[in-house]
Amino acid sequence: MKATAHWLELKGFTEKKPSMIFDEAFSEQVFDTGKIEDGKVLRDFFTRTKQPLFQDWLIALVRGLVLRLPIGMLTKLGLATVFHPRTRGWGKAKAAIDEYVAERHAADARALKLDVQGAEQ
Amino acid sequence: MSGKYKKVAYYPGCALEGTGHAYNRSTKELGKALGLEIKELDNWNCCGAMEVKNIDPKLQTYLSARNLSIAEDMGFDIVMAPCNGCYHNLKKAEYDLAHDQASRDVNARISGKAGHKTYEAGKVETIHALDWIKEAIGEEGLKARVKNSLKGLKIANYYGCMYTRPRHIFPEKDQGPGSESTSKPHFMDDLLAAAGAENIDYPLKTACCGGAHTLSDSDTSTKLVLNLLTTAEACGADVIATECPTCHTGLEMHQKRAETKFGRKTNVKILYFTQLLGMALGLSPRKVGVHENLSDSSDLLREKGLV
Repeated sequence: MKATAHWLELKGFTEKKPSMIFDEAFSEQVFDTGKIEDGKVLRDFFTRTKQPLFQDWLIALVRGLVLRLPIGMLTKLGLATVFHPRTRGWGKAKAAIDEYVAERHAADARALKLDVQGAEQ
Repeated sequence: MSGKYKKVAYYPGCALEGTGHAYNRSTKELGKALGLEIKELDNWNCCGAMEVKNIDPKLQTYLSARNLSIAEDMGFDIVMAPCNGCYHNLKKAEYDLAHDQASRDVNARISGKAGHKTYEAGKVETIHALDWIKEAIGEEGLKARVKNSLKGLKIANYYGCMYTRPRHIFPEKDQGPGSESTSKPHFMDDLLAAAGAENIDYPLKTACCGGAHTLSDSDTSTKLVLNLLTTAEACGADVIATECPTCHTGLEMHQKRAETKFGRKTNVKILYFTQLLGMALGLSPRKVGVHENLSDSSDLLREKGLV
């Protein structure tokens, strides 16, 4: 089902699903830095899907946590928001992954008879 | 029990450095209290979680293989991953590299260009935190160390779906007495029972919590979680014990979301099995990061004499 849904998106028959938007945002972060940071994943997804960051249930959740004063954890999460976690020396892996992804996209486009922008030829 | 699990490589994964902070803390504290040693992988990377495979499954294999290669370089032949997603991905990479030439080719190509050794299947065994405690200490070992029994605490053990599925990537499971079962897992039940807890018969122990879609399809995830929570309550559980940071955070988030958005309040508490075992060994709730969970269990822990 996932493959069919993805094929329909690539061909432009359906809009990109939120789950695909999430997968792309998440994967881009991994390919760029080698790691993800929870807060950035959440912010990126809400931005890309035009949702407000401050949602009732999220606010209630964070408020409950902060009231219990997990200082060590909040400090760590706060620092990770500023200094995003990354794998040291990831540059060469990133370049190799980017090259592979570009090759796969080109092969998929050829198979689906799409041009490089994704439009049907 | 096996001496080979006394010192293992440790792969925390991204979640344990973020919202799963309490699981990281409690796993380390529990290991320390039990005299076990872990060594975190140097400069590890994300295993790809549940997302990268949807971009390209072979990239997910590479990402996991790089971590296995680090464990090998550090001189370990066992790596312990407490997160179900990481555990699943490392096991799947092992399987794919053993059975699929295209996966081996992509791994060799990217590893070569990235400038590190190419991991080959069979060099490193991946285990879960449950295997680690069960094999290194065992139920009898735990019983002998319990200072603060979990007696009176009714627990629904929740394993999630990635700990046992797909079955073929876990060849050590379903091997008869003593081994873990993919249809009815019991390692967490065994350990918590040894610590005095009363395990309830929970029919949804391997049901999905919707973790992969917790943000992208929140309503479905909330419904799945609500089903897990209400069933646990109907079975008489005080606590749902978890062994995965994605499931754990999903349960906590959607318990709150169900209450805020749909007016469905549930009272069952959610704690990592490492937190429960840690408290049974006499560690304080703060030491095992109970205050770092998104949901508040302090009332129940006070009531049961664990604080």
